[in-house]
Amino acid sequence: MTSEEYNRTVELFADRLFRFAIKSCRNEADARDIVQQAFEKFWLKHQDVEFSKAKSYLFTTVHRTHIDMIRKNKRVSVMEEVPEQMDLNRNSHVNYELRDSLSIALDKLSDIQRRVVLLRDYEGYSYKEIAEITEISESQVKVYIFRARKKLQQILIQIEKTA
Amino acid sequence: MVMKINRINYEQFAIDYLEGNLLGEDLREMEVFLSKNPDVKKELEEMELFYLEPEVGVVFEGKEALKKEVVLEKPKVIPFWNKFWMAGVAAILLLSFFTFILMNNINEKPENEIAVETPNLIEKEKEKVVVEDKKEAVIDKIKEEQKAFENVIEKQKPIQKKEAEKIIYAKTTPKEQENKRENETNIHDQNMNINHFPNTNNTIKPVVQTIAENDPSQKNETQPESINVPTKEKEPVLLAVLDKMESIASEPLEFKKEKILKHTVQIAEVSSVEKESKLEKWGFLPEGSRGRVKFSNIKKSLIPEEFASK
Repeated sequence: MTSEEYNRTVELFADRLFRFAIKSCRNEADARDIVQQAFEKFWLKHQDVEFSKAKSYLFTTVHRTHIDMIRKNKRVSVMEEVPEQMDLNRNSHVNYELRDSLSIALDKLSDIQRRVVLLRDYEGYSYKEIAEITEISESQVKVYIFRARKKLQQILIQIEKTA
Repeated sequence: MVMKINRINYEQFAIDYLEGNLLGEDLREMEVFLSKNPDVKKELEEMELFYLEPEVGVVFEGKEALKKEVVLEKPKVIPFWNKFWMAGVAAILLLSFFTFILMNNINEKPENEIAVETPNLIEKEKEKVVVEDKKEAVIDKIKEEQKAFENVIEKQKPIQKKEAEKIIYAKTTPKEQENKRENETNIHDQNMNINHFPNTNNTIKPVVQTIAENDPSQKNETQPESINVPTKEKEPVLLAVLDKMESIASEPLEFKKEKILKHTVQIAEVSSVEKESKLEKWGFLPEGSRGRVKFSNIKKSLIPEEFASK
């Protein structure tokens, strides 16, 4: 694609990538770094990528960058248990208050569960596309999503009981 | 091949089963599995699917920093040596292609094509010859017509001349016409040396007298009155006269009859029939050959013996 088309991708997908990155890593600063690094990598390859493939390419890059960041900071979280404290940046411009139970439940999912659910519900990707972006099998994507939905239900029931 | 569903792998089918996307054999297999595993069936029946709603208002600040300066894309530059190489290959391919076509054309032409063309050439030549013949025939016909036309014109000329003369003659008065006829008669007589009054001409007598003197044996016989017998003195004159006679006699005798008589004899005023009878009598004309006498028949008799011997 051309540099003009690259700039168009910035306009079209930067906000959505940032939202996806915040939900994935639950840290605005990290999410900002992840998005910037993703666009820098994309710029280096933009002449070899078609405009129609830009969105998938960028989400895949964000996902990989996030994985690399986790490995680098040794903040790998393979646990599916919901953390007791939300690691949210309360000084952010965006108000990340848990406005509804569903959003709180999402934060309690594991990184991979949250990522595939976000790609499914926020971006509308198919299971196959999610598998390509996250570089796992389609069957595995379906298992993660089934478990994520089951977890969300349990969390919501728990929240309702505590409320 | 349908995967057998069991308690270990049922989760990868569960989400499609809940969303209604499980079809065919997979659906039947799932239903069999659920019938055999009521706890899983109860779990799925009690499961409520919750979907996340995208948060609105999340904005990435710093997009402009991510954007790059728009640069007009330059076309890919192919090194010149690559161009030469490509041009060389293209030239070789083109040459090969045209050579192949030429060779094919040469090989395909030979005998059949000539065999087809030869009759055409012969027919064309024949057509040319026929056309030339027709042209010549037309030209000949035109020439013949021109000749015939010229002949007709030539034949018409004297007629036209006579007609013109008649017209001129008709325009003159009777007196002028009479004078003209008289003049023409006189001219004709002068040309023919016709003496309408021979009795008054004395030139006959001396001639007769001369004959009588030279040939006394025939003195009393009836001699041709009009024959002018030459003398020794008159020999050259006679020969000249004979020559003139010969030239005149070469013309039809019938037409020049009077001319012959004029130069040979001096006759009295007699009719043309009488002239011929006299000539016949004198031996100038063979019997029964009136009007068609050759001069050679009478030439001998006209030359005196003394000259003939010479």
